[in-house]
Amino acid sequence: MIKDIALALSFLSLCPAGSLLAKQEPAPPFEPTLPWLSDLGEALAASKESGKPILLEFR
Amino acid sequence: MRPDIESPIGKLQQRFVRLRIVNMADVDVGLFDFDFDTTFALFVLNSEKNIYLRYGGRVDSSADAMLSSKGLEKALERGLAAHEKWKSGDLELPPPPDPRPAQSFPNVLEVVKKNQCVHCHQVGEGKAIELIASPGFDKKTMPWVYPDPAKLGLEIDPDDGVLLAGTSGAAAEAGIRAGEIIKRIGEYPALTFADLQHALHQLPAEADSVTITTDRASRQLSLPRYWRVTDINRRSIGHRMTPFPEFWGKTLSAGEKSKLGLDPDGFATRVTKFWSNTHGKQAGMREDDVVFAINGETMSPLAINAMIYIRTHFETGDEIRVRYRRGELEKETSFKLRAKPW
Repeated sequence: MIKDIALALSFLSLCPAGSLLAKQEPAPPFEPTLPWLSDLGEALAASKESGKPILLEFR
Repeated sequence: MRPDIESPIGKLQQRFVRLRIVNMADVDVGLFDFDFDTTFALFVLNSEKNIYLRYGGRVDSSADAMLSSKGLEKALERGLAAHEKWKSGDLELPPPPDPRPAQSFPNVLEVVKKNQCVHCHQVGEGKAIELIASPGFDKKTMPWVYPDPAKLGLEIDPDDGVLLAGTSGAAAEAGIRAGEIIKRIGEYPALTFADLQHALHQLPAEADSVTITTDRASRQLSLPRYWRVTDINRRSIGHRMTPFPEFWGKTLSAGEKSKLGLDPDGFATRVTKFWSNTHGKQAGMREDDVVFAINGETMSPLAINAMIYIRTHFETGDEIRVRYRRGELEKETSFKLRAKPW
């Protein structure tokens, strides 16, 4: 369960719990991550244009 | 541990427009209403601001007991499926809630004026302050937020979010069984555990029953007394309610209480800090003392610990009689409660 939680949280990148658990293991090789928007208006426009739903994260 | 873009979650992420908000200052918290005492929250929505689902939520046993990578994958898959249904005009959505700017909470506006970042918990504090100040605020019935479905006997599989791993109590009495998948609570559709909690949170205070719709049937469930009660010790509302207990402490586990010969269902609490010369400290209490009775009472269905018992059962200015253990000794003292420690 702890590993699951770490995965779920590290998905959210900078979440402290994810980072803390990640520190218990050797540093992983560089893995590219996806860009995230930071403006709701931009995301709504991008969703309309692409037809994709929006995944909104608050932290 | 960080999943790369080729991992299952990474692949799912790519099918969304990804938006991360770290400052609540300009957020419509009427629309994006969630449990602001949580570590994080996710929403899946469309370009018309229709929300398909929430992901997150917390329960008393742990702030992240209901989070898992499998559960997250399922939530994202369900969000994508809901979006496809919406695009084909085949998705019924509840009407949008009234808007509420985060800055309409005075404490949030103060943070914005200082040019600082507004955190989720500060919105939670704003809501707590507003609730406590509302006319007729009843500290025994109104402080409970985001109830735990387990209180209704709905044991949810965290790797799914709406699949019942087991049922007991009110849910079992209503005929709901393990293996059923919850689809709706009252009028609210549910795709995740956070949706379930949000739906329960919306039920009016006077509600005595709720309709639970699963993949098998809709059934009326009688709401047991105290079903909304959760541990508010670490929630904004629990910190904001007065009076201040005059000490801080750690809730003892049932095992720890039994070992000390105390009622395992009681609110016994080990004192951990005073921080300042509080009335509790002035009255002789010390760190490591175990408070087990207040005015002769040792338990309450409303209080997981002595601090919450004091906040929910007394008012500023009241004098309380506290019984506590110090090692083998049993002691008693009295002191007056204040609104704040300083």
